[in-house]
Amino acid sequence: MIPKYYEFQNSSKILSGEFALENIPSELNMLGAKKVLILSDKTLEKIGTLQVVIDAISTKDIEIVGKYTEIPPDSSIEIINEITKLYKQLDCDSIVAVGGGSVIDTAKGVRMTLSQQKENILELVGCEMINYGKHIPFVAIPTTSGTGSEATLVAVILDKARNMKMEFISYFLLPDVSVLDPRMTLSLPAKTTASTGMDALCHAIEAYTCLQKNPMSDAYAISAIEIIRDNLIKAVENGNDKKVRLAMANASLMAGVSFSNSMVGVIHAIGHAIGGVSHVPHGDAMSILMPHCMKFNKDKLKDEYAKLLLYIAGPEVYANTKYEDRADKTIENVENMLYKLNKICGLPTKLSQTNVKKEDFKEIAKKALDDGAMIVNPKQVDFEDVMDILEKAF
Amino acid sequence: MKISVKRKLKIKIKTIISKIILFFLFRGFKATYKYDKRVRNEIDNWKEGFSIKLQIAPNGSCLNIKKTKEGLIKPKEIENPNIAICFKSIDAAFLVLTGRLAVSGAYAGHRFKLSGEISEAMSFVRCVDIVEAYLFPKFITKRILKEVPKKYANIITTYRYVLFNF
Repeated sequence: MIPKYYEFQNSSKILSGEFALENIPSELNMLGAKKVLILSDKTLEKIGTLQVVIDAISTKDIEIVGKYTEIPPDSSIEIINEITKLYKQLDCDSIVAVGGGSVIDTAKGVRMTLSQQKENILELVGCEMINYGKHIPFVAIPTTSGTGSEATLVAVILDKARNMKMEFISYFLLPDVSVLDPRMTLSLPAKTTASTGMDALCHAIEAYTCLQKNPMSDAYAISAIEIIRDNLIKAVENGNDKKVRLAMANASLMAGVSFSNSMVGVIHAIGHAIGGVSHVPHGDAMSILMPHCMKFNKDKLKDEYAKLLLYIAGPEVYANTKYEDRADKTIENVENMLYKLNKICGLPTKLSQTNVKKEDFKEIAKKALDDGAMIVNPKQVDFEDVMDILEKAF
Repeated sequence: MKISVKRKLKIKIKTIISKIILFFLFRGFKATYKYDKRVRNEIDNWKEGFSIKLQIAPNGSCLNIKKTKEGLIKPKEIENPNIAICFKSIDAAFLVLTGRLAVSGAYAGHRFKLSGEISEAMSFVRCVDIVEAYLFPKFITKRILKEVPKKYANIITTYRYVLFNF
């Protein structure tokens, strides 16, 4: 069904595949950039992934004038303000981000602060409230296949002072170029591959079912689900398979495009709260919560879940399942994937296998209700509903 | 090129009606704050001085709400509100204010811009849903809200407060 009104934007250029990194200098040239600031983290620097990018970018026309690799898994307002100062001190004219969601979100924050000519990113908290501003060329190179941050209009940044994750939403956060190179995810451990891959699946499923869904976001979501169905288990079992890695990178980006234009719902709202209170890795929380939240939403989303069976299980299963059983079968497939990944690499299947404590449930539920993702969940969620989901997922 | 007279007239009418609805929306907030414990709980959790600006298009009608010791007030101007919601057009605002689109639907449809913390805005959104349940008949709220909130307060008492402010 076509919504009465919708908006869709995916303005990033995508470079995907063999030697994609080596094309970045050409892209930077076209964007008018010469002096690059590279953002990444310590682990990627240590294992040599960052050096692969530096080698690819360093050319006659492009100078890497600085790098910042102190970005932690939960980046903060302070770090963004610090990098913004560094960018100005070094007189850079562009940003290249190499990393997972935290690094790319940090880069989005730095770029937004610079383009809006502010000193502190906190002045820009909100949704679609900034104008285009000064153009800062920005290239994103994801090193995980899950967050989809390289294709989204959202940046989530921790405000350490208040221990709160702040959401910044603007179409001007989208990178100019997103680069998917299989070399970037080869070193990802099996468990992280599984966890981030399930996060991508969750993005696609929620994007396909949330209030902002539209024909464009649906197209990206179902394609992402098909690719994940065919490649996630293989990527976890054999991380050195470049074809499979590239497929997962594409699925993650497509799920990112999809949820950037449709947003995510109750699974992410509770997952963000669990991350904030109990510091559970985001993908782990998504994997555990997904089947339980889908069961919760099922009465509102029976049709959508039924349609998803075709993409998550394939045409044979879809054709052999009666309409009334399809929604349940979709959820069953998600559960089966979770259990399979648990067997292969130990991905947790219950909250009790993580840092979550029962005594934190109330705090998690309260934070979840205040999460922006709750507003686009198609079913009304109250405090008791979240408590019930947590109880079932424990 | 000039704007057509028809469009000009439409904007004028929608602006006048929106102003009236914003007036009663504030009264609805005050009434439910007084008579509905869910709204009271939400607003009691807002810090003192917490303010919200609801604006239509950049220079259109506006509703300012501020929490004070005495409860909710409607100042003429608020500098740096905690939450500022600005509808992108009078037509978008009109859909929401006349009960044809819920706040969640307006958010989903990118009908407004929001400045401030989204987590703080969520409490306001929950309150608007409850206020709408009192102000609009059920056949409207059933169509636009995900779930129609129960009315715990007496409907006549609430309407009396909304209409006559006592």
